Amino acid sequence: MMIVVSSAIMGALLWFGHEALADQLSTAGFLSRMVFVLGLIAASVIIYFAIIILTGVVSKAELKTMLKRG
Amino acid sequence: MSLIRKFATVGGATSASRVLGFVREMLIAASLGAGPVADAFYAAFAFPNLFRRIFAEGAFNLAFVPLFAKKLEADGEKSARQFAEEVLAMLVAILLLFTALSLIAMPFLVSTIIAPLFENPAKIDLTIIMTRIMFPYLLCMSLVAMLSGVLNSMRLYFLAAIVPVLLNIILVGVLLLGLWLGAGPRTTGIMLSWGVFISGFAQLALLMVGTKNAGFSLKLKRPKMTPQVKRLLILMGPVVLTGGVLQINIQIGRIIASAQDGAIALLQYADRINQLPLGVVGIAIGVVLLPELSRSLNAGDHAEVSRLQNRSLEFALLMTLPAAVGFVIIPDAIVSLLFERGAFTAETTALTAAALAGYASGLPAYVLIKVFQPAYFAREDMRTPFYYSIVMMVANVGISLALFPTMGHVGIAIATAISAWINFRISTRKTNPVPGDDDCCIKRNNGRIALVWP
Repeated sequence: MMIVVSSAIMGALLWFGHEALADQLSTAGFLSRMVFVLGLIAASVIIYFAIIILTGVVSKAELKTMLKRG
Repeated sequence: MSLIRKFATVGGATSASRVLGFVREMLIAASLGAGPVADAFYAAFAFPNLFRRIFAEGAFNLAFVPLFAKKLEADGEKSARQFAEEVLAMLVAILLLFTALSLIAMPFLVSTIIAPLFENPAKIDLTIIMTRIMFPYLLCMSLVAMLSGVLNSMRLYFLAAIVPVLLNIILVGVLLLGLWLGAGPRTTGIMLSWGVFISGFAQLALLMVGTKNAGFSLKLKRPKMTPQVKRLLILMGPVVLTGGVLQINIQIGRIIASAQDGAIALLQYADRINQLPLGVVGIAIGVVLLPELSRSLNAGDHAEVSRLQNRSLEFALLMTLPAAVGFVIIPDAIVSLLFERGAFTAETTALTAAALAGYASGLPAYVLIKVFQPAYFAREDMRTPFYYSIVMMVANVGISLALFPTMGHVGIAIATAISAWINFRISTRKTNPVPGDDDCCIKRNNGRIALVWP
């Protein structure tokens, strides 16, 4: 259940971030776009995994192994 | 080594391949955009690739591996080697005949199952040339799949997982050479086809060296229909269809898409992004879970079987659900960042992004199917997933045909996603994947998964 809730929260963050900067994005250069998109995705992923770890869905050690090897 | 660690090893190697695959796809997008050469190349490449996916990620991992692993555990290395050599002999004979016949009948194949709705004669001719160059790739990849199965059964996962990187290294090299020479789209397309051909033999050579180093080099014997080979072929029949059902679904989509100029390329670019989490998580689960499940079942350890499946379900959802959400909500930003340069315009971005959102809505389902299927295959129950896959294909064709006239290529992506959810739904609701197992965790997880798709 927490996976669904965390994903929904992550989705909301992505949507608001994208809507807020949509106009600037359409005229921005490649580097600015890259920073914006990757930044937005990174922020969302951090929030997603923070909720997942804090609620105990996956232990920190397991996640570390996955990220290190994946 | 824990299950998560094994997933991570295979997933890590697959990640390396996918990252290079992205570089390859970005270069193709910049060189060919969604023009006629891109359409022809993707239609041609999809044909041997369809079999590669079915064999490499389907039949051989799902039918050959349990039989080979059982032989290795129960009867020892000598018996397992004999079985593998018998299979190798039959496989080579069938593939040589199939390849020769296909090369002769290529114009017919292009006009019936590869791209039947292409109208431009130059595009049709180019598709025939490219498919002929690339078709022997199938022969190499089928043998690569078999050797990978041998290595995976010996718990040597890394080499088999890393070998597809060679394809991307060679194609990236070819594309850079094309850009450096200032080659036109048609020449670039032909060069890419030869790159695929060369990479097939390079991958096979590397795995042959790998199996030899593992002390398991195989000799090519005269093909014989032994009882063991017959059993494998009987088991493989439905698995060929079931294991590669997603690929067949995508191929059906391509056939319908060949009616719209540029649609095959657009779907390919969208699918490439969608395949990133699917490849890393889904294939890692399929490749690692099946040998582990087979081993636990052979040992009669039902508690371990339940644990393996529960952890796989959680791992699959944990990684794919957020990816699906991201692809559905900001597909245009992702596509633009990855592909929009050179021949790939803003208009192409918008069209590709719409297809990506469609595909991504089925992302959790594609991976969850990969978790449930091994539970059947490990028990050598090939029929049940086969029937489910038939339902999925019928749904896909029906929905694609219904949506394509109004939504174009996006309708095909949505149909693929809906049919995957249908497959997943019937897989979990109609039959318990662990027959006779009263493990409460599986039931609880099914409830959780149902929440994802009300």
